[in-house]
Amino acid sequence: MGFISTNQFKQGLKLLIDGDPYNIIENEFVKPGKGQAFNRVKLRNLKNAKVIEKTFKSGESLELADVTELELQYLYNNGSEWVFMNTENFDQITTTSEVIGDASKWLKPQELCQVTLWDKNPISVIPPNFVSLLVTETDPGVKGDTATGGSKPAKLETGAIVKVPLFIEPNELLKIDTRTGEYISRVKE
Amino acid sequence: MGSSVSRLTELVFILRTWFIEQGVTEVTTPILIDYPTVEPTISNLKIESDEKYLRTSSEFALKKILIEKNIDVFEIGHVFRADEYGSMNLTEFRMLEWYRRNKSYKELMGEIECLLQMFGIGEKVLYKSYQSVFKDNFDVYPHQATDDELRSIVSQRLSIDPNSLVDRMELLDSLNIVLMSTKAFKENAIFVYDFPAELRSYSELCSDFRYAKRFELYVRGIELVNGYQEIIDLKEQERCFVEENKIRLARGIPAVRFDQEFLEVLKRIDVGQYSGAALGVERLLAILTGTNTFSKIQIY
Repeated sequence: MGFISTNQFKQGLKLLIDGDPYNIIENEFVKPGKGQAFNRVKLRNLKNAKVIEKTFKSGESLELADVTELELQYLYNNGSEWVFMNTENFDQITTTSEVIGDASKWLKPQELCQVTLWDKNPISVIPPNFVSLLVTETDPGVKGDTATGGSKPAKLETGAIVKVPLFIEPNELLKIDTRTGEYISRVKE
Repeated sequence: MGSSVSRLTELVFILRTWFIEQGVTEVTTPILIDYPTVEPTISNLKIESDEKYLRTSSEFALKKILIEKNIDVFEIGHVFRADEYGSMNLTEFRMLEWYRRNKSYKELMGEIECLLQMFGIGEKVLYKSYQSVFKDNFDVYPHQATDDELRSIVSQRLSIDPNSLVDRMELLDSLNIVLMSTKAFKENAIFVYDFPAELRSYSELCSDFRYAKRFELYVRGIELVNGYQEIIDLKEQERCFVEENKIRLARGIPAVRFDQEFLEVLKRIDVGQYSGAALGVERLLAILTGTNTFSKIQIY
């Protein structure tokens, strides 16, 4: 899908390197001692999130990766396929458990997710930063214990297991930070 | 120093005063010039309508004055470099450039150390030859390493496609990046001197021709000054220009018409040993304000 010169490198640009799509995280122009100029670039592999460093001769051209980021609504999964919908045109997009990865722990139907597409295919799914999920299993709550700071495991409706305070009861709705997997608060309905 | 709008002009004032006190004559030379730079790694911005170029430095204009008028000269002015833009590079920047008669490059380094001391950044200044820095880091002396050996060091030390580097100059340039990010460069003021002959620019060569009488000063990882003992021989200067044009052509960049007027001056007047250096003024400001990105110091 076209080429771009190192002179136009900037944060957020998507490049195709060794067959994989990468996002530029940092681009540093260096020109040591009257010599040839180089771009030292930090890149994140959009398929596995690994960060690499590369050096290019300034003025070189690199292939752009056809990467788009969409906000899609999660609909359902049948165990192996995960189905999302574009709420603007109602297009449905399907992906695999492999691409969903750890996000599966937090996905509840109707939630809007950040989906990254490469050549029209999903390569990563990021759930909302905060989700509200129902406790399906946990030990009965210890009344009045809000101060000791103890915790216990609780299983949520998506199957995720999180640490929660001792006073949490089964069937309560909890706010969870999906980036850390931590309990934030109860959700008052 | 004062507020962000006046810091740069105050710094320029301090530098001017210092040089005038040393007995160096301040001059101004044209920003619009007829001859583009021949150096393969530096490119001019061209004024198409007038077939002129914005200077990339005042090097040859100042050298002409030193030789013709027999005086020491300095200029602090705006210079322009196409395709150079980054956290520590500006397309337009201010350069302090000066030339001193009867001084060797080593004496010039001493003068710069005094300048650093005035700014309070001279507490610990290291002097290292390029050979020793190179040997310490890559376990070989640069003149002893074949192109293939350099290429293999590059592929071990830098994530770059070594085949994208087309000649020895580029291989050495890429290894400079590795050196620049080492502790010795990041944590000190360090003069690196006696560059490999391939990186001579317009400096004189040492008597064994392996090294050039050129130096660079890095302060906390920022390249601040480049200097050398100048070529005084007409034939040698001409050879350098021709050689640079050959490198340009080999790299696929057009050869350029070099400064005939300067060669004429060298032909007409015998000049003794002299040395010159150039300092990036915005970079000095960055060093004095403890930053390594221009965006933090709001220069203009």
